[in-house]
Amino acid sequence: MSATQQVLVAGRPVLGNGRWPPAWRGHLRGSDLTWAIAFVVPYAAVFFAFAVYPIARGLWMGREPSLYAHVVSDPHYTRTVINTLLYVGLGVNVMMFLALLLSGFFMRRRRWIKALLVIYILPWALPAVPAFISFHWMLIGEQGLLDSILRELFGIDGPIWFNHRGLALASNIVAYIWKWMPLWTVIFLAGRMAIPVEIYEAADVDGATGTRRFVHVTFPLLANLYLVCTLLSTIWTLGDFNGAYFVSGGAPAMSTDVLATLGIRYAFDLGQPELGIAVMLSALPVLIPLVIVLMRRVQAMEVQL
Amino acid sequence: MSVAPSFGWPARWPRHRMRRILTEAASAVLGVVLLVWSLLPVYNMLLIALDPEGDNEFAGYIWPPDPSLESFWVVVSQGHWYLENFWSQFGNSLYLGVATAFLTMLIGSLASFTVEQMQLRKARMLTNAGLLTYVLPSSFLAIPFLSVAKSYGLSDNLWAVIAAQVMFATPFAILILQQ
Repeated sequence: MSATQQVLVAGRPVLGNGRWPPAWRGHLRGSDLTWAIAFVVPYAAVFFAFAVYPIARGLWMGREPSLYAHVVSDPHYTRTVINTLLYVGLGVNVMMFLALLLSGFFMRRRRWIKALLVIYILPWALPAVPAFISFHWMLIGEQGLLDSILRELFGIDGPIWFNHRGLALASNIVAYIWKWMPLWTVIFLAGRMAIPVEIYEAADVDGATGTRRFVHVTFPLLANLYLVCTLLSTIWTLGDFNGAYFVSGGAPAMSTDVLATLGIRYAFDLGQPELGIAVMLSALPVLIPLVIVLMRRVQAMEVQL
Repeated sequence: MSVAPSFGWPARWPRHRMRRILTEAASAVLGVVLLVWSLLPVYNMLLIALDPEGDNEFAGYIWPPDPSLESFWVVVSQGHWYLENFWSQFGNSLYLGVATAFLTMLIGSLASFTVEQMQLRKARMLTNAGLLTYVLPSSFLAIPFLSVAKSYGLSDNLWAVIAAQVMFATPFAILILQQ
């Protein structure tokens, strides 16, 4: 929390015009204080009633150690943890690396590339659930669009995607990458645009072009941004429910569930919310260090700027 | 694509020229790949929507033999038992969107005004704490949220959804308004 705070404080001018008169800053009195409190109360009320209380209640629901023993003894759980590791590990890293490379492609000054960027970010603009349902239909076996294309255009009999655990898991990962890669590409594009041209000119004089320019100039300058984005994406992917639920739906036989979908299954399909919470909370030992590292890194980035 | 001919005349063309053509060709190929990659699932949606209503929804063709807008008509005229309440559901979505946007702007602008202009330190701490909801898996929050909504008497109520949306959107609105 303090890290975020410092980030925001650091990014702020010391004395701005049009602010409240300086004499009152930090110690409001009388009616001003009343107004200030009245303005913050709606936000605080929503925050405590719909964020703090549900979180506390969730932690309270998952307080019994026996819940975790039960969850871990479920053979489903181990497989789900492996799936989650693959989903997050492969999904995030492949996505980030491709996004970094593609952001270089979109830096090219061609009009058709600018137009292509608009189409390329379309998946990000589309709502996630219909998009993932479309993936599900596209892969639903011989009648799906992908297998139809393989048959009609290339004469190949495509696999039945959701009958095979590896293929189903890969489908989920690909769909997730399809949905979120544009966001990270745009962020890396902004990062690349922020690099001063002089640095590239100097590198050009020194004879660094192509791959060497990328390895020795661009990547070191983007490294911190890349790390922050990877951490943030890892945290979000860990909690992602839509990809696994709407693309493969856990098929075949719930073997492609991730922690988020298994938790929801326990809570809503089996009516055991405590077990669902326990499944979710079992990711905390991974989640908390990630959040701490992320905050340190965000702070470092702000100081650097 | 046009990669092949450029291989043929390396002797006549200077190296940098050939390299430029190769780069252009490669970026054209990449462009086509990205176009297909981005649009295939979108095209699939269109394909299924244009398929006339019937038993064989996934008949395995790349383009429906007789595309029709019949499905859209069925939806807007509520012509299927599953779509009986389409317009009231549509109204719900509209209500949800408008209420969320209005409340987020109202609560967010009041709070950001206090934090930024009046420099209330404790309030800043509170709005920054709100950003922590971004690193929280929302699927985790969904489970206790249901029982919390029940205890507030909001089960089966659109306002439970509005409250959740406002809660997630407000810290971000405050962050943006502070810039």
